Amino acid sequence: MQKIFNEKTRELWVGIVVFVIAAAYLFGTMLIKHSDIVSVGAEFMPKIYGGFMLVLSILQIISGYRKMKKSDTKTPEEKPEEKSAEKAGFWRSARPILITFGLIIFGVAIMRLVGFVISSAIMMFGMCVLLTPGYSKKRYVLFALFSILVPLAAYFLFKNVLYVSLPIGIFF
Amino acid sequence: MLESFAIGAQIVFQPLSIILIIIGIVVGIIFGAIPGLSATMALALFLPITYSMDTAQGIVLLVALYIGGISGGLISAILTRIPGTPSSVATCFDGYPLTLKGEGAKALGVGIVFSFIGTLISTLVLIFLSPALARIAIKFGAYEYFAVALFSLTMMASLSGKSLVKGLMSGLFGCMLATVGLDQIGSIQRFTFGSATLKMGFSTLPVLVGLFAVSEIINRAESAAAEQKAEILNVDIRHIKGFGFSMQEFWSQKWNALRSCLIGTAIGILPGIGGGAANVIAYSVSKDQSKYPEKYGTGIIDGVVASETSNNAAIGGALVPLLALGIPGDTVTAMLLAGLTLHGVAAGPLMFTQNVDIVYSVFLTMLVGSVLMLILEFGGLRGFAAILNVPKQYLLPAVFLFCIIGAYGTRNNLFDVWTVVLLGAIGFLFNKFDIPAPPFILGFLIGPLAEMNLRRGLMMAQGNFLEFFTQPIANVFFVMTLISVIIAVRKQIKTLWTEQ
Repeated sequence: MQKIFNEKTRELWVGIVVFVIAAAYLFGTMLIKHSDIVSVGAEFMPKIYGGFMLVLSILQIISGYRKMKKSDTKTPEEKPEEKSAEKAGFWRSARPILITFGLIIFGVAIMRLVGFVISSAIMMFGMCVLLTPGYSKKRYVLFALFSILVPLAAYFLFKNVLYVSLPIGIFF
Repeated sequence: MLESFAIGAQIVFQPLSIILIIIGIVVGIIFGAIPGLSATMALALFLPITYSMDTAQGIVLLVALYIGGISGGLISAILTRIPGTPSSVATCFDGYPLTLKGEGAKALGVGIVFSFIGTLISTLVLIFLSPALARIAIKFGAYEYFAVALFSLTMMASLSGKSLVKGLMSGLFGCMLATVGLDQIGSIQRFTFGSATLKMGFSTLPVLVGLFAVSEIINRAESAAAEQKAEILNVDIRHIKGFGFSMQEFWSQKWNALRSCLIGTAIGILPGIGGGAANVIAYSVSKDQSKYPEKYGTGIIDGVVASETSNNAAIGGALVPLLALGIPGDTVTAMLLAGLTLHGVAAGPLMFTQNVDIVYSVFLTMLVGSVLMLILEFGGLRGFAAILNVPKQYLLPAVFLFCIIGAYGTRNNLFDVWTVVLLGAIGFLFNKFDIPAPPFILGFLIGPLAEMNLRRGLMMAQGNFLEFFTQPIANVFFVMTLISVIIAVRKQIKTLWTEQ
């Protein structure tokens, strides 16, 4: 898995992924209804975009393939922090990314159910923990207070003072 | 004209009006500085409050909010790489790298001063040239708008960085994302997959906020655990002299500022484009014209100057069609138009005779407001720089919270919050695979404009594209487009040759 996204093959993979996206997009343009009322239809520009994207993705694939072939087997000089991240393995370095992203998705998904305050508090607490640098102590109590008070204050300010709508859940 | 200024001065220089301007600018700066909130939201929230006020004073408050809101975006753009408003997107490109170099205060000072200069110059243009410029703006039809949009899209090349192909892919991706929803002309559903939510399409604010804010949070999460020592980003706020930069640096930016101001004013005058595109276009033109384009993006004041001068210049520009023709130049002036309508004032050419007090109150509010903005932001400079000392584990979650509020507040729909999440993932992947984000933004903002006017033009010309070349104004922009493309291709060939 690590080898797939290394520097040598990254460019090639960018091209392949974009090719797939462009092909899917062009397929999607076939589903756009053509209207007889409008002479230049809604599918006109999407087809142009999709076509250009396909061409660019092919250029990218060619460029990526050439780069892959040209590169030698030696890995380039890496900075100490990059070496330690690689040693830790792909999944260990990807873990905080996946957890953060998962936390955000979870928080937004439950927002409709539990409301803005609770879902924001959960997300903020998680982020406080995840964003604390390695050298710093994790102050869970402070994070919890921060994560509860700030969304509450924001809720009060925007809902009751500024009359901005916020997602309401089963509590508030 | 002097008499008219005297009428306006009688309103603006009242103690209550000055207080309203100060409140408007402070609140505007807060809304502009917090990612997710925006000048448009600030005006939308204060619009009902102005109903109970005197008409002129209500408009004074709204204009002050506009100035503060556009200007405030630079604070978060420079300090956290998250633009407070769409008008400050390009400020991130060099503002944040300046902060990483320990020159955050300088970046803030440059942004504040050149925001003031941009507002001032465009206000003078507004005062003396608005009727004449409005007559030119009215000549812009589908052919001209398409030509302008096409020229703007070629700026993708200069924003592409090392790889032109990746830059163009990014730009096209932005154009493609903007096609989701209902087609602007025939209201045909595109890529909605039968979903009522997707029919709404993607809104600008959630897209930008997700692309910058959420991706920044994910990037930070990736690097946080591995950090073994503190980032030396603490800014010595006690020893900031003046605005944090020298007179020599100020004078070195005169042509950059003037050019960016003209670009911002011109784009502001054209309805439908606005400050969101002005700052990106001015930034890329500045980079193209620079003697050291390779330094852009590494942390030089030129990039901040171009972005901040143009976005504030767009304020004055956007007021030209509003006052002279009754056509709003951007979303914020649309709110101003709503404010005028609320008070029973019909915006348009008759305002200059029937509502002289309001017109000249707007002019004077722009002048007085820009000076007060400069003073207030100068006074807050140390406070803004102190934000850098707030640990990121507190700052970024709080920013994220406001991003959610702002995104949800766009259309009161959770879809916009999901848009933030999606674009956060896309922004993160862009970063990981060295795909530049600026062309994406340009494509997303300008793509729909180009499409709508191309289709309109083709329908008017009954499918004959050559008709586009019969309009002189359009031809000017087509020639500029051709020159821009030739320069970009030459640069790319030169880069490839050098690499080989």
